[in-house]
Amino acid sequence: MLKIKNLHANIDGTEILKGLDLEIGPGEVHAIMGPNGSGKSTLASVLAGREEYEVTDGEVDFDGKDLLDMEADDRAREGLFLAFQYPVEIPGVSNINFLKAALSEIREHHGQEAISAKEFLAMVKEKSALVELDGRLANRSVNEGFSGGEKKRNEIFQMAMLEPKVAILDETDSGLDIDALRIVAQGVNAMRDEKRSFILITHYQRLLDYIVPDYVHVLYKGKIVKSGDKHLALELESKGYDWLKENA
Amino acid sequence: MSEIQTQQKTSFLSKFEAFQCPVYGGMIDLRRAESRAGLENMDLPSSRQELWKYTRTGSILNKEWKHVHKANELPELPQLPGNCYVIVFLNGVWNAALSSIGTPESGLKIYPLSKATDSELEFIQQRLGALTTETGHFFTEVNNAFWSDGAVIRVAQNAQVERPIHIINWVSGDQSATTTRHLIEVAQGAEVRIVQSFLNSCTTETMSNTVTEAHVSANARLTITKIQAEADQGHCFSREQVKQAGDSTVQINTITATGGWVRNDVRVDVEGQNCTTNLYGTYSPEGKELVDNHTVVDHLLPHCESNELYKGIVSGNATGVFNGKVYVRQDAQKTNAFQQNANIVMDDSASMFSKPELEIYADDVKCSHGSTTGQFDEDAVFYLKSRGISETNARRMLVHAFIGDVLDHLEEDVREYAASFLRW
Ligand SMILES: Nc1ncnc2c1ncn2[C@@H]1O[C@H](COP(=O)(O)OP(=O)(O)OP(=O)(O)O)[C@@H](O)[C@H]1O
Ligand SMILES: [Mg+2]
Repeated sequence: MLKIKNLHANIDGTEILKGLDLEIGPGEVHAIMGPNGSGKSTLASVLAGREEYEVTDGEVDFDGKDLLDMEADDRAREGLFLAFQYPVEIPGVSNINFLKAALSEIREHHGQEAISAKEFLAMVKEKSALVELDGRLANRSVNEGFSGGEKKRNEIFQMAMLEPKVAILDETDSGLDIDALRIVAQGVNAMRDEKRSFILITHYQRLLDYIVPDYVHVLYKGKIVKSGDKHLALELESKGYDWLKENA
Repeated sequence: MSEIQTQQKTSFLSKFEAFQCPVYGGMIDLRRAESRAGLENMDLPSSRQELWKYTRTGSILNKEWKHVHKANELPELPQLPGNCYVIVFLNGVWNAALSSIGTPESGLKIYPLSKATDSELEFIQQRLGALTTETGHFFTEVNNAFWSDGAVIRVAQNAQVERPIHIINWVSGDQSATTTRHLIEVAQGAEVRIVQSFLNSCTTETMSNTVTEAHVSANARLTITKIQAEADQGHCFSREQVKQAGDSTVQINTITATGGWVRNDVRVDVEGQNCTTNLYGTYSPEGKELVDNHTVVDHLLPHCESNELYKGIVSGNATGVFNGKVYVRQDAQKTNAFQQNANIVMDDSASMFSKPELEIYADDVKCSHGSTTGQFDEDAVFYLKSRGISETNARRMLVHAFIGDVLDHLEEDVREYAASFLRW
């Protein structure tokens, strides 16, 4: 589904990703952990198509297509989704109108008919219930005045609406209380199937109790320095990263 | 004034001397003559004057302007949705074929100055030019001295005009200049909505100079929405000069969609108590366009409220200017005056000059003003794109979100009409 080979990326002339390899099969859930500043959000941004980052080497194959060749909007239409670590507030743009526009553009891209107003509203109702997002929030401006937890749930709500092939969740669990965490996990688990893949970027093993990953990777200084199964996360939680830093 | 400047002014004014100005006798001709004489003592606009600090006028002052009497062909004019009265001025002269007034509803008079009947002359003599003496404004004075034609709109006491009145100011022909003059009277308790479109043919250099005087009586309501959608080569100066009596409400919306050089002067003298004055505006110059909004609200008496909100997006090599003055005079206690100008500057090469000014001489008032100029929120653009929305649509959404609180003040039919001209 997603094959990353030898990925190098710079921002403002500083190399952040330094030869990253990662392969994610259909239906798999991969967790990426690693100390602050190791490049996790950079990886997410590069995959989502943020233009400030310059890819200097490497390739990314997304379901048979050259991901790095596409603009951010095309990547999304092809089924890539990023739940942001820090979702932006966009005053004056309604959450619902923007999602409707996004869905229309995605459908048009695939030569599908536009969604009817009725169908759309039914979908909003179903998906917002899934993440227990208050209907009123769905109608407000994008993230404006949302609490931290509401913003994160709104990301998952959008993911549920757009039904991507690959979803990258950048620290969606950070700062959530246990109830909110359960809701987010429930949203993700409801969407898991044999085709859809997930990348969970997290600092906390706790999330992985709720969304059990197939693989766990450690990203350090712009590279994957260790990979394992879910037990690696437990080991990291107790031992920290220092033992890996010495190896790296 | 140097000799060169005097020569330049004489040459500029001589173009307008050749205009066909109707002769009325009486006060009208007297005021015209005063303005003509006043121009002799006035300097040409230049960046040394506060009024023209950021707005270059060189491209106007040394052109061979002329009054093109006949438009070559009748333009295809845009229409407001729904029923409305339409009065069209082609190159500053009323055009019967394109206008459609029919028989106005009771309490409403609409006619071109050039067709004023004898019974209307007394009113016109009394009012036309009465509000625009001593403006100290060169182009207003040119209009005072050389106006050719314009609309008269009179709404009788307690008449509520249902349909909007659409005045279309159209300029065409090479180096074609206009001096159009509109006169509005809204009598006590009456209400009317007026839309003014400023348009030109897109292939030639034009200059339109339009002055609208409005007398708003006690408890009356007037809304004027200006839609400016001239092309690159258009120069558009327009002034609204309004006098408000007690308990009245005036709203002036200035929507500048396009235009090479646009200067608006909106002035409202609030001469009664318990008045409301709302000024809203939006502009989005790009390329080498220039949009300059000068506004004055003068509060003379207590218990009045004014709200002013102008929002703009300036891109490319374009220039935006906002200069808003609110005076709260000594007697104007309990005034609530609010003024805000917010801008997005899209490119390093674009400029925005914003000067909100409050001058307060009363002590028991609530006033605030502010100005912000920021950049486009690129994080928001990326957020929208990352959901599958194209760059163009993402930017359009954000611009509409930004100017939305200006457009929200327009009536639905007018908003729809305005939106058809907006770039975004
Ligand atoms: N504009 C920039 N110029 C130079 N360095 C930058 C710039 N932006 C980010 N960085 C650096 O890139 C590195 C990776 O940042 P990134 O946000 O990807 O880390 P992260 O693994 O997501 O960290 P966290 O766990 O704190 O979210 C950091 O050292 C950061 O300081
Ligand atoms: Mg991060």
